[in-house]
Amino acid sequence: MSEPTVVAPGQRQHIVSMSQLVRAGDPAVQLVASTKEALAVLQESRSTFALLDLGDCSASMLQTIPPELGARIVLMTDLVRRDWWTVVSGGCAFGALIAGPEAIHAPSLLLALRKLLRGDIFGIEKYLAEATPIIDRELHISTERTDGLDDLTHALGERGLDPRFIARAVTIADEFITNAFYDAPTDESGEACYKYLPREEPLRAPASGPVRMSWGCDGRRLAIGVQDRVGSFGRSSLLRALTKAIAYDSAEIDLEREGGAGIGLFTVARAANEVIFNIKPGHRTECIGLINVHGPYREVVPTQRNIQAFYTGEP
Amino acid sequence: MTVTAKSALLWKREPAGALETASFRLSGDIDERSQRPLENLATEMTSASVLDLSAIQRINSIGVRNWVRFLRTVAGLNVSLRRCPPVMIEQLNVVSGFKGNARIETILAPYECASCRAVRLEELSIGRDLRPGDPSFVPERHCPSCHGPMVFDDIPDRYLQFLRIV
Repeated sequence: MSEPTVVAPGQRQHIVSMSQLVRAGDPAVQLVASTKEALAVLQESRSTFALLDLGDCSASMLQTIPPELGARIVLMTDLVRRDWWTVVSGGCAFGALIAGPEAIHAPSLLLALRKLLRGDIFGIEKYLAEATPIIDRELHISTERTDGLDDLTHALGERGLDPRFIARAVTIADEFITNAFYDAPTDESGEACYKYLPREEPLRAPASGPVRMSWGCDGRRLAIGVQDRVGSFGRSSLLRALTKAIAYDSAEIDLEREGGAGIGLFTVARAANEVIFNIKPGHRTECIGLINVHGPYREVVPTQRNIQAFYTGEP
Repeated sequence: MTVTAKSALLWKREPAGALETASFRLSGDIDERSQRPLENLATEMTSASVLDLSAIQRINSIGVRNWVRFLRTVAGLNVSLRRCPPVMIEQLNVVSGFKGNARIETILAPYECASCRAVRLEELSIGRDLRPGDPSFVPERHCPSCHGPMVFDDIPDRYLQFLRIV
């Protein structure tokens, strides 16, 4: 079977990345003139993925894309706040979403494409230098979160990381673990069954498997990942959850709200330089936060939201 | 600057400076376990109270809600916040109502020594060192170890964003 071809129309800064993509050769990339042409190629070949620049898309155009085609579309934007409502209203036609505040660089696009083409989207090691040790920990009950966060704090402290990086890493792990225990599990109707439970109430991981926390640091980047064995983060709920984090500069607290405070992802999106969601619906969700730790803090502190989401294993 | 393991929120009364002012020092994490300690603190506070936040290690999203609720319950008091550390400043900058009716007196701001590379938290006073309404201005500081000039180790407009509203 021949390698899938990626069709990549683009405008704005993406053009630079696209040329680099073509030169990289793996995966093979074919540039086409327009989104319309890309969709036509997508329709003809079942193994093709298309990268679409959201700047070229409208919500109504995305709504017309059938789900089986949508799963092979990578939506990307370097103007995440401007394009966010197009994605939200676009009927979730994407297999991956790459949304950042600036030009998306070729290495980042290549990694995203390879993840999708190989159907291998999970794992924080993909974002770290080769052979970086990864530390894993299984959490069977929500109260084990405290020990997990303590271990992370100690381990990062021993590496001599600036305490502000450590505090951000722990915040990311804390919010993701809480989401995995309280927000991910769903009942038969697909509703989150523990969403309104007080977070101090201990909760066992679902029978499908424990929550897994992992982290690694290669000296340039610190990656923190949390996986649940539920996979309930569908596109519409993910986009809904991310809207507060992406589209707004400040958060309001609903003091009457039961359960979570509703600003977990908002908090994570500001603590991490990049946030990645890997989802196999009905099976697994992995949330990853990446923190740039190389250089003076003032040069690596996140100032913009940078979000990626990947879906795999759908019929 | 150090970060210790996750620990529950504690507070203790400090010797009062002014006669009618009650001073409290808070330490640990503000999270889902903090509701009760904050409720207890509220009952101890007097009409003029100072809260030293320098030993707060972390605050998570549930902690943010508990904190905002707490400040709501003491909204009728004259509350001053002192030595607000980076973890509280981060929330102050992005969460509406995070300071409630409290007055921010001083904050802790990160500086890096250009010579010995040590990073320190310097206490900066609103009004004396920082200009309300002007987040781009940061005062100069010198390293107490090597006496070299220190650089503000964050992006002033980002870290001091809250100055727009004080």
